[in-house]
Amino acid sequence: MMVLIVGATSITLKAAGPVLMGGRSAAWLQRLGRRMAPAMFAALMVTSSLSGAREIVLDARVGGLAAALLAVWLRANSGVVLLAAISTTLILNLLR
Amino acid sequence: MKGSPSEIWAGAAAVSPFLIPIAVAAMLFGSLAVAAGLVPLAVVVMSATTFAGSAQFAAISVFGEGGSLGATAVASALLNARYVAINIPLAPALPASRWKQVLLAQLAVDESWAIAYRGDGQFSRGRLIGAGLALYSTHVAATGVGVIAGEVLKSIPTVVVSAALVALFTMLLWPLLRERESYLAAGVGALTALVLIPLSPPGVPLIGAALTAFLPWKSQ
Repeated sequence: MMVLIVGATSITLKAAGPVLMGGRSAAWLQRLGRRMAPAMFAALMVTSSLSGAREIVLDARVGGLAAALLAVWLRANSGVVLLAAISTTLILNLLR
Repeated sequence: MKGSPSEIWAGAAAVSPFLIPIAVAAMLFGSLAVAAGLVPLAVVVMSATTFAGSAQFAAISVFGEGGSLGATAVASALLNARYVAINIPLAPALPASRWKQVLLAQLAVDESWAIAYRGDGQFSRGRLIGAGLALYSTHVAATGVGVIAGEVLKSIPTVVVSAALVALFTMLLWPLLRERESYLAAGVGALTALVLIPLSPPGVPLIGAALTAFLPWKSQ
């Protein structure tokens, strides 16, 4: 059910631009397009590393976030970033 | 000229360097989605209907945290909202028929959109079709492979799923951080999510962060 709803909204949103707007754009839509992705990805980094059951939890995931940030900052390729985040999280989780 | 076979092949050829990373991401999505508790068929159906990697990872992230159906759907819809904006300039390159427009608009993801772009605000229909179809078939097939791998591994610990998602979102954010506007958007989004985590059920902090993109501040 979740899958169908997510799929249907995705199809609708992708089609909405060309079909409804007919090629006419709007400044606020362009601005939204530029801002939505950074805001969401940053928020997803926060929620997937810090969220618990209605509380902020500091656990091994924060180490994974730090490792991912460091690896990205050092321009590591995506495999290295993934490995750095996963291995750091796993090690910290075992030490706990 | 529009949609000619040579343009379609040119689009598929131009997108080929992206197919390996797309396949790896889709395999990762398949196995993480299974680990997050989705049934295998649903995972493949999601790749076939949503065809937007980041929204799919967001959906399993919220779902894995125990978010409600509504929160999951709204969070991923908001992440896909940017397609309304980026697909508008495609309109002149699409056929006149409405349902063909709907169909071809689905082939637009970041990579195919970029390859279809000819400069000066012009897009090539053929290149969009070629690149889009190559990406789509890779995405769906590799999701299937990932689901099988996830089923075989079976018990991927939840911390590994979290760590992989954290790494993915970090990699997705990084190239977007270019000028002041994107840094501010990211900072406000992260802070909003942080404040909302203790105050609301899973998924809602993301929705709150997405809504900050609607705030009417000036970028300069």
